[in-house]
Formats: sequence, C-alpha cells, structure tokens
Amino acid sequence: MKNSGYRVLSGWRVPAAVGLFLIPVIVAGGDSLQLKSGKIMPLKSIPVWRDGAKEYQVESSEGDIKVTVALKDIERLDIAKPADLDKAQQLIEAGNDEAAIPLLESVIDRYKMLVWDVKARGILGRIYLKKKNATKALDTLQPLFTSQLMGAVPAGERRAYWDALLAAGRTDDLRKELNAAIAAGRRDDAAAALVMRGNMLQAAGKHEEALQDYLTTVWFFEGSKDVQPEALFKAAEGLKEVRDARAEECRKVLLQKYPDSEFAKKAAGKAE
Amino acid sequence: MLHRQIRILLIVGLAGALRASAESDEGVPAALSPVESLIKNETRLASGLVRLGFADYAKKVLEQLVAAHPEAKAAVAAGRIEALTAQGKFEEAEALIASMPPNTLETQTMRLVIGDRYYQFGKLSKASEMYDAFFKAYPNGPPPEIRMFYEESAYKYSQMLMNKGDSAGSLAALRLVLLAKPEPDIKRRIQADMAELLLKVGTAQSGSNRATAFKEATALCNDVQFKGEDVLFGKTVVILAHMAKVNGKAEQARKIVNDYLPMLQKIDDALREQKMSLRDSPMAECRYLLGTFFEEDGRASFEDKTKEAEALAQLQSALTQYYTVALKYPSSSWAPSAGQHIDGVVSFLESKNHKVQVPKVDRAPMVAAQLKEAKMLFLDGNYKEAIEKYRDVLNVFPEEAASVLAVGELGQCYAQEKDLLLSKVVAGYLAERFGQNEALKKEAGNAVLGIAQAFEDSGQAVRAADTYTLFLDAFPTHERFPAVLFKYGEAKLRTQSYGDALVYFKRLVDECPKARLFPDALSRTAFCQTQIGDYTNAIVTLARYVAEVSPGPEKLSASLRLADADRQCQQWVPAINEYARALKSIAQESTLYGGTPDDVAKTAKARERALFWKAFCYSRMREPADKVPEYQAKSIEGYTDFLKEDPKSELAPLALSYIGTIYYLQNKPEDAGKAFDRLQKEFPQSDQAQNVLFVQGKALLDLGQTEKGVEVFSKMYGNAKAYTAAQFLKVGEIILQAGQFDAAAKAYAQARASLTNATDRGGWESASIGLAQACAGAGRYADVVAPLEELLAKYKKSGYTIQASLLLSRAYAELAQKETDAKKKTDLFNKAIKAMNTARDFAKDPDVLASADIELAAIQLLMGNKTAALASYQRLLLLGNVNDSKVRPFIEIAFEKAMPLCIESGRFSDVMDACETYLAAFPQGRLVAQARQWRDQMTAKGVQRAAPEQKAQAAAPAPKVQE
Repeated sequence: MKNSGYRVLSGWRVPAAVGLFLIPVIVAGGDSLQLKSGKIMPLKSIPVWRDGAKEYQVESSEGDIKVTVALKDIERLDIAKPADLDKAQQLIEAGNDEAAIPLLESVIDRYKMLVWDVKARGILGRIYLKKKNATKALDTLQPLFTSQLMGAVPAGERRAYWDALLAAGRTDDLRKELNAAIAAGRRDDAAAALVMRGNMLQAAGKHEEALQDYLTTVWFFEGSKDVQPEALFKAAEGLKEVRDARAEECRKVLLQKYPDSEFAKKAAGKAE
Repeated sequence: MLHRQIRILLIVGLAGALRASAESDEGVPAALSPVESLIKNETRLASGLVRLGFADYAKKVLEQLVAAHPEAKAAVAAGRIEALTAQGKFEEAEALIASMPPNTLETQTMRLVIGDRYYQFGKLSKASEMYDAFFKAYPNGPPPEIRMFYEESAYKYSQMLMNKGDSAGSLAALRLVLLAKPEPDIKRRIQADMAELLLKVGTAQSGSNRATAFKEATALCNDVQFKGEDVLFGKTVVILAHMAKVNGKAEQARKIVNDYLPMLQKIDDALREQKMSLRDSPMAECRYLLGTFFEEDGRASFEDKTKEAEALAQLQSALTQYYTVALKYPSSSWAPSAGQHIDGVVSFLESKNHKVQVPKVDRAPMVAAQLKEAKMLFLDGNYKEAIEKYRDVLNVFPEEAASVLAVGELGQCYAQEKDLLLSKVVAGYLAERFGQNEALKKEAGNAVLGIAQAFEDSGQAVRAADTYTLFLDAFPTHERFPAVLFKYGEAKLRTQSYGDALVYFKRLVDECPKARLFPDALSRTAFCQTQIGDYTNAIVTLARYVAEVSPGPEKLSASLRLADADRQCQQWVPAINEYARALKSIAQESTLYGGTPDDVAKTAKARERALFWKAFCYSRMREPADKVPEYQAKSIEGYTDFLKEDPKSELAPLALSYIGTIYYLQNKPEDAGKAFDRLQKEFPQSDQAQNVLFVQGKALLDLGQTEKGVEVFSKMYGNAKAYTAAQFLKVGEIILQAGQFDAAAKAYAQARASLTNATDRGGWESASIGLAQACAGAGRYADVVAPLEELLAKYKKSGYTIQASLLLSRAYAELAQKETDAKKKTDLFNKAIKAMNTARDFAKDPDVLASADIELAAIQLLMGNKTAALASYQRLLLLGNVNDSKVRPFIEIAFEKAMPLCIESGRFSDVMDACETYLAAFPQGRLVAQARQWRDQMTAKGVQRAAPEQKAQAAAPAPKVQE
C-alpha cells in the first residue's frame, strides 16, 4: 500500500488534501485588489480612478509595479477605511449630523469609485432622509446605481435608496425597484424588498397580498436575519387577522430567535 | 395493428425461451412428479414475464395453470402477487393474502413480496406494515428453513428504514439480522453498521439514553476490531473517536484519530487502488472529524489577537478537510454536513475581514442527499412531515436546481393538505423569484405545473385554474406554455364559452407560432370566431390555417371551412374560388384522400358540399347586373352536376328547389315545373316536397329575391287552411329576418289566430312576440302593445317575460314621444319605465341586463333626458365585461350611442378615454374606423391621449371552472 504522507500542524497529523487546486485560500487583510480571474493583488497605495477610461492605476506591493486595471476585470477592491468617515460616524452618533455632512461629502469626492464613497453616500443619504429632504437623498444615492464597482450596491445603501424613493412619493419607481430585487437581486436584497413591498401593500389595504409577501420572507429567507423580526411580526399579525393558528408559531419564533429586536418587544407587549 | 402483432410474436418467443430456461436451469429434481414439475416451471415462467414487464401475460399463464391444476393454487400465489403488485393492484393482492391461511410460511413470504412492491412505489408506511407483520410472526428468530430469507429481508428492511431517515427503526431491523445468526463476516458487517447507527441515535439523545447507546456501540466496535484490521476496523475507530467527541472528550477523540490516522489512510488508499466504492472509507468521517477539531481550535485562537496567524492556519486546515470530504466523498453521509461547515467558516472569516477564495463546488450531490429524506416522505404521502423536512433543507440550499424542484414538491404538499395560503405563497415565490432566472426558470415552471396538478388530483379545480393562470403569466417562454393555453381553450370550448376560448387560442397563435399546437390553435381560433359571428376575422385566420397545413384531408377541410366563411360573409367570389380549389385538389390529388374507407367517405362528402355551395354562391351574385343570367346558368349547371354525382344526397331536395326557383326567376315556368315535379317525385317525404309554395318562397328569400319571396308567401293566405300555424309562424320568422315587417306581422297574426294558448302555449307566445316585433319594426307601436299586454297578463312568469317587457317598454316610450297631451305623455312614459323594471327584475344574465341598459337609454332619449341616457350607456361601458362574448355587442352599441352625446355635451376627455378603451378591447370591431375618427377629432381639439393605441392584449382571464 502507498503512504500518501501527511504533515504536522499544531502537533497533529494532517492528511494531505487531495486536489490542492480546489481548496479555498485565506488571504491576509490590508489593501488589495481581486481580479475576476481570482488573483489577489496586495496594494502599496490607494489606486487612482480614471473616469474617462473606466480604469484604475494601481501600484502593487508585489514586485513594486504600477499597472492599469480596467473596471470590468475587477472582482473586488479592499481599501482601508478613511479616517474622515470614522469622524463623521462619531459626529452622527453624537447627534451632530450637520457637522458630518462636509466630511461625508469630502469622502465621496476623494474616494470616488474607491469603495468608501458608497458607504459615505449611504450615510449622507440617510441624513437627508432624516431631514425629510427626499430630493437631496435621491441625488446622493442615485449615482450608486450608475457607477457602482462590482455591479452590486450594498444592501444598506440599497434600502436607503428605496426609503428615499418612498419619501419622494415615487411609488411606481419604487415598486419597479422592489420587483426587480425580488426577481433577480441578492437574497438579502430580495428579502428586504419583500418586506418593503408588503408594507406598501398593507398601507394600500391589500392585506392578503401583503401577508403573502411577509410569509414568503419568513418561509424562504430565513437566512436574511436583518428583516426576519419585522417579517415575523407582520406575518403573525396578518395570520391572526385571518384566524390562522400559525400566527402563534410566528410569534414564538420571533421571541425565541430575535428576543432583543424592537418587534419582539412589540410582540411581547401585545401578548401581555 | 402491426405493433400488436409484433408484440404477440415477441411474447410467444420469449415465453418459449423462458420455459426452456425454466426447464433446463438447474435441471428438474428427480423427486418431482410431472405435475409438480410443470407447476414449478410455469410459476418461474410467470415470474420471468413479470420481470420483463408483461405482468398481464404472467397473470394469464397462472390463471390457466390453476384452471388446469387446482392444486397449484398455493404455489402460484407468489406469482400472482407479483403480477398484481407490478400493475399497482395492491388491494387485490392484499385480498388474495387475506384469503390464504394466516400463519403459514407461504403467507408470510407473500406479505414481504407486497412489502417490496410498496417500497418500489414509494409507499413506505405500507411497506413497513407488511414487514412488521412478517417479523412479528418470528419474535425469537426464524426457523432454519427460512433463515437465509429472514436474514436478507431483515437487512433489506433496515436499508429501507435508513433511507427513510429512521435510524432507530433501522437499528431494530439490524438486530433482527443478528437473530438469524448470520455467517461471521456478515455478522461483523452488521455489528459495524449497528455501531454507526447507535452513534447517530445516541448523539440525538442525552443523559442515560445516550450512555446506553454509546455503551452498546463501544462493545460492538471492540468486537469488530478484535476480529481483524480492515475497512470495518477503520470504521469502528472513527466511530469511537466520534463518540468521545460527542461526550465532550475532545482530547481523547483527537488522540484516537491521531494514533490511527496512518492506518486509516492505508485503508483508503487500498480502496482507491482496487477501484472500490469510497462510500465505506473511514477517511470521510475521519476528515470530517479533523475538520471540526481544527475549526474549534481556529475559532478559539481568534479570541487571542497574538494567535491570529495560527488561527488562520487552523481554519485553513479545517476548510481543506471539509472541502476534501465534499469533493472526494460526495456520497458519504458526511458530505452535506461538511458543506454546511464550509459556509460557517467562510462567514466567520469574512466577519473578521479576511477574504477567502472559494472555488466553485458542485453542490448537487449534497443537495440531493439532504433532500432524500423529504422526498421519501413526500412520495409516501406523509405531507405534514415532508413539509418540515423541505423547509429545513431549502433554507440551507435555497437556489440550486434541485432546490427549485423541491420547492415545487413543498407546494404540492401544501396543495394536498388543502392549505391555500401557503400553496399560494410557494407558487408565487417560484414564479417571481425564478421566472426570469435563465438557469432555473424551466424547473420553476415545471414546479408550478406540479402544484397545479396536485390541486387537480385532489379535486380543487378552482385553485388548479388559478395556479395555471399564474404559470401562464410568469412563464410565457416555457416549453409547456402552449400546451397549457390549449388545454384551457379546450375546456372553454367544451362549455361553449367561445369568447373565452378564443382568448386562449388567439394568445397561442400570437405568441407561439413555432409550437407544435400552432396549426390546431389556428383551427380552433377560426372556429371560435365563426361561433361568435366574427366571420371577417375567421376568414383571415382560416386563410392562415390553409397555408399552414400540408396537402391532405386536413387541408381540404380547412379549405372548405374558409369557403364557408367567405360565403357567410357574402363574399361570393372568394367563396367560389375556394370551393373550386377544393374540387380541383380532390380531382388532381386523389392519392392524398383515399387512405382508408373512412377517408374516402369524408372526401366524397366534402366534394358534395363543395359542389352544392359553389352553385349556391353563383345564384347569389348580383354584380355586374348584366352577368346575372350567366351566374344563374352556372348555378343551375352546378346544381345539376351535384345531382348527377349525389342524387340521393340530403341536400338534393334543396338543390332541386333552388333550380326550380331560378327557372321561375328566369320566367321559365315549364323548366321550373320539371324541377319541382322531380322534387315531389324523388323526395316526396322531404319538407321541400310537402310544401312547394313554402319552399319556393324561402328559396326566393335565400336567393335575395325578397319581394318575390314575400309575394309567393302571400299566396298562402288564399288557402290558409292548407297550412299549419307552425308554417305561418315559420314564414313570419323568415320574413321578419328579411326585414319585411308588415308581411311578417300578417303571418304572425295568422299564426296567432289559429293557435289557442290552451293547445299550444309555446306557439301562441312565440306568435305574440313575433307579431309585436314585426309591428315594432314597421313602426306601428300602437299595435305592439295589445299582444304583449295580453301575454304578460296571462302568463306572469313566461320564458318570454323579459323580451316582452323590453319590447313593451320601447313601444310605450315611442308612443309617449309622439303624444301631445302632457298627462297622457307622462302616463305612457311611466308605463314604459314600469315595463323596463319588470324586465330588469327578471333578468339574471349579464347580456340581458346589458340589453336592458340599452333599452333604458333609448327610452331616456325619447323622454328627452340625454344626461340620463348617457349615464345608462356609460354604466355599460364602465362595468360591462368585454370578455363576455354575449355582452360585447351591447358594449359596442353603448359606445356607438354614447360618443355623440359626449361630444354634444363637451365631454371631450371622456370621448378620448372611451375611444382608447374601445380600440384596445375591440381591435377588429365594427366601429374601429369611427373610433379612430372620433379620437382624431379630440386630438385636434387638444385633448391628450392617455396611452398609445394598443394591439388587443389577449391576456387570458382567470378561468372560471365550476367546482
């Protein structure tokens, strides 16, 4: 019999993997650029975005070289968070949204197409929504959908955009966005869209259709934890309205799995 | 026919071969008598036939054997059971067993045969019943004579239960195997399997139950290990390590694995070298265990920032082990768990801001393994439990191809459980989430159809219909889309809802021109259009259909239908040309039409029809006027040819009466007389012969000679006693249809006078209504009132109440309009409204109510109340159902009448909206040109259009099936 051999790790024998090329590889943290081919390039400095050519000028720390990489060839870009963004977040937490605005605008400007503009736009969009300025919120968030790296807007920012559309009364546009997310978006986006659409239907008096959206979220999107509390709560309410015994099941799951959520507290309060 | 003959020959040949095999195989023991030998061979033959799929022939063989040798009954029982269960006839099979002595070995073995068949059909619960009954008969183990059979059955049973996910049941079945005292090698195998099951069972338990299970497992492992170092040895090593881990003794577990790893690797290598299945390799579970060790260490190390590098190395190792299990041992029971751990580790690393290059893995084997249990429950009809299993798995693997089908099965479970809410949620999720997913939409469409079928199978027709509608809306490019449309169109045809059927067929024609059902859909579309009187469009459709089909009987039939449609639209020349084409085709391509006697008869009938109607069309042509004699001559020639070919045809009397009539028109009384004489001589019993005057008059009207026809009919009054009331009634109908109102009134009055309501209520009522209609047509409204008031007074609830009330209402309104005395005018209008209310009280059908709205509006106009009239028309425009073929004509009338009123009152935007709505709903309506004109007028006035003109959106309405 052949001895396939094994290596030692932390004092334990480890059999060799079969088919090493198929094994996932963990890459160390720090600024890096991942190509669609799978290669990860660690970066020496922040890349320079060239809007006209839709490309980045990149300085890699591997072999100390400068290269140009087209946007279409990039899978992922990881850059250290700018200090201004942290400062802005601290100001917001302290209740000083106004002071945060110029910092966020600066990040948006300096980090265009460098990941953190997305985050900054999301935060700034939410500030404008809080100030009930739906137009400015939309103006801030709209560019995310036309120039987003990787083609996928992060869930938080997408929701902010939907909230802005709702606040601006553009319900037809919002409905189209939600339907598109449900049909073809990432699962977390689809789940969030279902809940939001359910809320719109509920507000329009279409209780049965709203309940279907909530139940779809609960039954098929268990992994989308952010929206589960709201979906469970509203599904329970809807089921109670139609005298379906599963209302209690939804309520129990909400209280057991998401006891700290505001919806669990509401549900507990109602039971009392 | 040919296939049946070949099949019989094959079976005879096979039977011979099987018999020969049965006789020669193992030889016939000397101790058997000839009869016993025959019985044995025939039963083996039957068994062979069942295996080859000829269960019905097997049954016949056994029946013949028992008929010839009744003593063979017991011996053939097994064969019979096999044959019956192979055909799914379980009740008969169980009845057969119930008729056998209850506790004999034979009966017991028969139970297992049925049990096996139940298992093959996915009926696990029933299979278990049969097996449990067998084993209960031998609580202390089997007698020697059935030891082998018992042992094999017990093992088979344990596998069945394992596949069902019943570890405890499977374990109990393995204990039965040991009761049979198997050979040492087999015993060792069983012990190893039992140890593995005890590990699973114990892990799911706690406290003393777990301890008991693990204690037994340990004893079994030690026993196995004592007897040799092989695959089974390796398996038990890993089981012992796993038990230690479950008991919280991680160090002990790691030590066991570490110490034995070289040996386990050797076993794995040996299996690979010998190209044996890796399902039993101990390395799958071993690697999985190692993965869990490294994962735990890695997660713990991350808590200490100084150990991050070590943590990453450990988690890297964990991923390596899990991936190896998933990729290299996909059929192992550890692969699905390994997949879940991979997701967990990747999520953990990403939460610590570490990226993982994750290679794409084919998860299909993992998904299939996970779903196996749910599927078994579903097939067994255990829907409640299946639902829970499906939900658990589908939230781990939500969007694989196998997941989509599983979602469909979940929906079927809800459908079978009659859970409308959740079945809608599932179907809606499939349609919305996967309907546009190129990779998964086909499976999703199939899944939705599966749910619809489940509703149908459980007798929930309305819900099935809703689900099919969802399918049609969400999957318009699915391969079964045309078939579903066609199916619903056919269902509507069966209930004679031609307008609704038309929507489905037309959609198929418009959206699926390449579908196999396209020609049939064209044919059905034309049929529906004909039925609703839309001959114009029927002609267009039929022309397409004729062009689509290949030469042959179908094309001939299509051609004749096209010619008939042209004729019904009075397009004589196209009709004649098409009949001529059909006749030419029959004459010149006779080989296409003479396949069977049936085809020959059909073709003859087609020729007969073509000849007759071609001649008829010639007789109806009037332009240019100077060519009429020529057309009449061709008509007579055509009828003559027809009579030569088909002198006994059922159309022959009609042909003769037309010939006679044409000669009459040409002032050739002798020739006319000859034709009528021949009619009376050769067809004395025909309607035409029995009443030449009547026939002549009708023929003249058919030929468009209205005045002459009426003149002939009027001769009937000269000898009224020679004619029945029914004949005068018929004359009244015919003349009324021809628009000759005064003459029709006379005929109806004659019929009414000779009928008393005591002897023929129906005829008297019909004549009363006819008289009123004729007088109304002639504008003699004063004469309308009397017969209707008499009818309504005599019969409070008549089939004619609504019609009479509507007519009466119109008559009073017309009289009121002409009345100069104000009080009398008011009285008359009040009577009109009262009659209208009577009509509305009785009316239930939407088309009757629509008709009443039109009539009411007419009365309101006569009263000078244009606003109220407009409101009546608009009520119909807004609320009338355009998809109801009977209501549509009234909606068109309302549109036609309302628009001038709207224009007059300056309601231009209403005109624009109504025109747009009309053009969308009636794309080929009779008012299309007028609607466009009105719309353009409104545009010129600066009124904005709400939406561009749309082609008729043939969206299929929700089919309304009666449950």
